[in-house]
Order: sequence, then structure tokens, then C-alpha cells
Amino acid sequence: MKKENRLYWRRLDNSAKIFPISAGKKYSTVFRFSVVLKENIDPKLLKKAVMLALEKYQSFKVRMKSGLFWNYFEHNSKEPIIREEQDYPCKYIDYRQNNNYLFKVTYFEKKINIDIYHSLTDGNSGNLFFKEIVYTYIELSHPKEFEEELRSVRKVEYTTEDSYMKNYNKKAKSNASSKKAYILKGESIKLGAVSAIHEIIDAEALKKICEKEGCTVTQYLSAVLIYAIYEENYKKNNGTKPIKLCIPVNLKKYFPSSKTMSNFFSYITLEAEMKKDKIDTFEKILQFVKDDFKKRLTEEEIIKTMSANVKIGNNPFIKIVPLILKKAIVRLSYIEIRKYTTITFSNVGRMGIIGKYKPYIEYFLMLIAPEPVEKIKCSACTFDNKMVFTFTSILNDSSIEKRFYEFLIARGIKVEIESNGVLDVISTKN
Amino acid sequence: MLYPQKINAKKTNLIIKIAILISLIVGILLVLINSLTTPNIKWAGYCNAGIIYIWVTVLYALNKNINIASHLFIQMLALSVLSIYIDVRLGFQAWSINLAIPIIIIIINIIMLILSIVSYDNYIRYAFFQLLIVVVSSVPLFFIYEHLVNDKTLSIVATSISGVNLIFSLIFHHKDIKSEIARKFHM
Repeated sequence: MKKENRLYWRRLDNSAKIFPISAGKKYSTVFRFSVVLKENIDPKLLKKAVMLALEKYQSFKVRMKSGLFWNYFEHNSKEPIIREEQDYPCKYIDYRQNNNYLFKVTYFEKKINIDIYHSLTDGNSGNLFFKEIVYTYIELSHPKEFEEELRSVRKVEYTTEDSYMKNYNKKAKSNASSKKAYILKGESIKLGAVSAIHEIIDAEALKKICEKEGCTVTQYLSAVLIYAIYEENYKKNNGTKPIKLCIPVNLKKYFPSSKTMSNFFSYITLEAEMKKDKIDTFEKILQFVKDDFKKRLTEEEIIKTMSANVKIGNNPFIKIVPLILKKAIVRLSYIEIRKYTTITFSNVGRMGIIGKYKPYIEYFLMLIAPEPVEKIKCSACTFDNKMVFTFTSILNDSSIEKRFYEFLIARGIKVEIESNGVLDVISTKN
Repeated sequence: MLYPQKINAKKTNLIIKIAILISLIVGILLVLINSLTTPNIKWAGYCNAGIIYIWVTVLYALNKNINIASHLFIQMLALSVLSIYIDVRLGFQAWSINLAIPIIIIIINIIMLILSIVSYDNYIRYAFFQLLIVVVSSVPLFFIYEHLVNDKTLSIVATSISGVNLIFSLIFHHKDIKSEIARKFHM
């Protein structure tokens, strides 16, 4: 007797290891991509599209299992469950209620969402899988227009290697700041609700302003974000610690040979000493952001940060600690560990959609789960002339979001607001 | 509109929480009634042990994606603990370790053996729990070694069946077992 297919399994990559150890209902480590189409969603076609996309991206067709020392992924033979959206965005994925899948596809009217557990992949690769679902869904819902695409196969090429292990520098030394960050003050929203506020920005107008200011879009929005925090939370609460803005970086840009669908990201952390360095106007904040980006967004610095994190995961003492103890230690020290970041802002940039599919799409959204210490997280993505900047928050106060919006409006940039209605947001629609 | 107006309030969790609370109140009431009416016979303890056993089984079974071998393992542990508890409460006549636990081990091992034959291709899903069942099935040997059992026969039969089960698995599923050990113990 010979078994045809032995059950596939793979190790978690170096970044992914931390997520199942630390994640829980309050710290979900989930991010979401959504697309708003021009027609209502057909759930049957959506299910078919997800199944077809999964055939191509088998790395998503897995479940999480526990080993004695680390978690691992194992092939999942079940079908994914497609549901109408019922919960707040980026909530913890209870895989037992989700046919063991580590991603969740939901729909609401014209919108398709995918919530992805960060252990599975990062924003960049999650985006590839999501776009495959969107392409396939559009093809299936418009078979006449996409006759040729339905007959042929759109090839995808990827690996599931741990690119961290392949590319890290053993000799690189950590440059992480030991200073704790200013933590946003204020009451949390009750009953586990999560606010999502989307600011839909005129991308062309924003680009023109950035050109005038001599900075990138990410730098400009980072500066506006720090300014909004400074004005609405820091000053009011007499903050003393630096505002630390964490910006994830796609490592595939620095290691283009990597085709991995696993996590392969690092981050830079801007550290704005508002009081000490007297950074008290937007102009000063923007100058600080430009300088700090120049200092930190270099290949050498990014490899240092990545290598330091890989070394932690590779530490033999950490390796031999049983998983159950790792979980207990990390969860007990969670609040202390998280106190080194004020806020995270992830900009995935242009969605890069094939031209033929564009007429069926309004815009894309990206959301990141907030958590008890980092109560607001920000993300942005761009499709055509619409850049959607999203605040996901559990802070029961939308003044930072309002200040951000008002700032852009005052600079002559057209901004529209959409939200899930958890917080009383800016009601003006331009 | 981008989001639904009514958000799911997770009713299932709430129902389970209410049911656990009711069980807790019932348990306390039973103890009170027991101590007020028939304080010489401690029947409330048995009832509460039964309630705990039911909850272990129900909470485990509520997870619809459970592995059948893991369910067998949990049942094996829960039933063994329950039988020892009742035996101890009744003055420890050792029927739990002489009879109950060996019988539980025999039944569970026979089911596992059948499972490993009929689910030949899916055996790897059960391999880890099979190994755990074999480990727990060796406990009667400890009872024999410590002279806790009066009649060794059933204990020897139970452990032997478990041994046969292990040998069968090692012969026909050794690659699965090797792979399962690699994934469970990778560092």
C-alpha cells in the first residue's frame, strides 16, 4: 500500500512565529483588504472565485497546528467559508469556526473583504492573493467580456521559503531605540467594537502638494498623522515621550530575487521628540520626517532591523522553550513589549490592477487591527485617482481622524469620508 | 454604504457563558440541598463530577473541526478521571483501576486500531493522538508496578492491545509517524 499524497506541512517563517504566540481576541494581528465594485456581490460566484484562487495559491490552503516548540502550517482539505459581513473589521479569526482557514472572505453589498491572519503572510503577498480573487470574481461575473481570460490560466509564480533566513546578516547589530513611545491617551470603545474611518483622498492633488514640498506621499501623510496626534492627543495630555511612528517596509524591494508568499517585511520607526527638539509646527514635523526617513530608510538600516529580529527567533535558548511557555511569557509581557510604538502606518501604494478589470472597480481599502496599546492603526492604498487612508481605531474619540481630514481639506485636497459608523465622524461629504 | 448597520453580537458565546453560569448555580444548589437534607451521603459530589464531565465533552464537541482521534483521547482522559473520582468518593475499592480504566483503554485502542485501518490514507491526522493514547495506555503498568491492582489480567490485556496497536501503526504508518514527529518537534 502506497500513500499518494502525504500531508503537506511547512514551518512558519521568522516573523510569523511571533503572531500565534501573542495573538488573541484583543490583539488579533489581522489585516484586511477590501474592494468596492460597481455591482452587488454574488456570493456563489465569490465562493467559486476564492476556490479557484486557492488552487493557484496553495500556500493559503493551510491550517495552523501546534508543535512542542513552534506552530506550523498543515494542508487544509476543507472548503473556505464565505459569509456576509457581520462583524467589525480585522477581528480575531477563530479558525475553529472558519473551517480552520487563517483568512476569512466576507462580502457586503458591493464590497468584498479578506481578513488575513498575519502569520500566514504580509500585506504585500496578501494583496496578490486578494487581487487574484478579485480578478477571478470579475471574470466569472462577466463571462462574455472575459471569455479569453476564463479559457487561459493566469500564471502565478511563488515559493513559501523563509526569505528572512536566506537573506539576514549574521554580523549586523541592532539599532533599535530603547526609548518607550508616547501612548495615545483616552478611553477605549466598549463591547469590542472597532471603528473604521476611510478618508478617500484625491491622489493627483496630494501628489502635486508632495512635489511642491519635495517629499514622498508616505512622508507627507506621516507628517500629517504626527501633526494630528500632536495637536489632538499629545498636547492635550501634556505628553513627554517621543511620538514613534512605525512604518512597515516590503523587503522584496531590497531582495528582488525573493518570490516568497510568506511574510517578508521589516519596518522603520520614526522617533519624533516633540518637546526636546521643539517640533511644534507642521513645517518642522515634515522636515523631521524627511530627515528621519533619509536616515532610516536605507538598505543597511533595514537589514540591521531585520537581522536583529531573525537573531531573536534563532536564539537557541528561545528555540528550546516549549510553545506553551513561550505563549505565557509573551502574553504576560505583551503590554511592555508594545510600548515602543505610538502608531503604525502602512502604505501598500498603488494596487496595480490590469487595465481591463479597472472599469468594474470603484476603489480598494486596507485596514489593520488596532490593539489595546496601539489604539489606532493607519493604512493606505491607491487605485486610479483614489487614495484611501484608513484609521482603524478602538479609541473612543475621533479627533485625530478629524484633524487629519481638516488639514488636508485646508491644503485644498479633496477628501471624502466613509466609515462603519462606530464613532461620530466628520459628516461632511465634499 | 460600506458596512452593515447591525453587527453580530456573538450570541453563541453568550449562550455558552449563560449555560456555564447556570451549571455553576445548579452545582452550588446541589451542594446546599445535599448538606441540608442528607449530609451523611455526599451525592452532590457525584452530580457535580458528572456536570464537569459533560462540560468537558460538550465544550470539546462544540468545536466542529475536531479530530476524531483527539476526541477519543479526551474521552479516555475524562472518563478515567471521572471513574477514579467516583471510586475514591465511594471509599476506593480500586474498581476504577482494576476494571474501569483497563476497559476504557481496551475500547479506545480497538477504535483507534479500526480507525487506522479504515482511514489508511488519512492516518497522519490521527498519528499524534494515537501516540498520546499509547502513552496513556501504559499507565496500568504503573498500577501493576506499584501493586495497586488486585487482578493484573485486565491491565495486562489493555496494555498489550495498546502495544499491538502501536506495532501495527509502526509497520503500516511508520512514514506518517516519522513525519508527524518531525512537525510536532521541529525547532
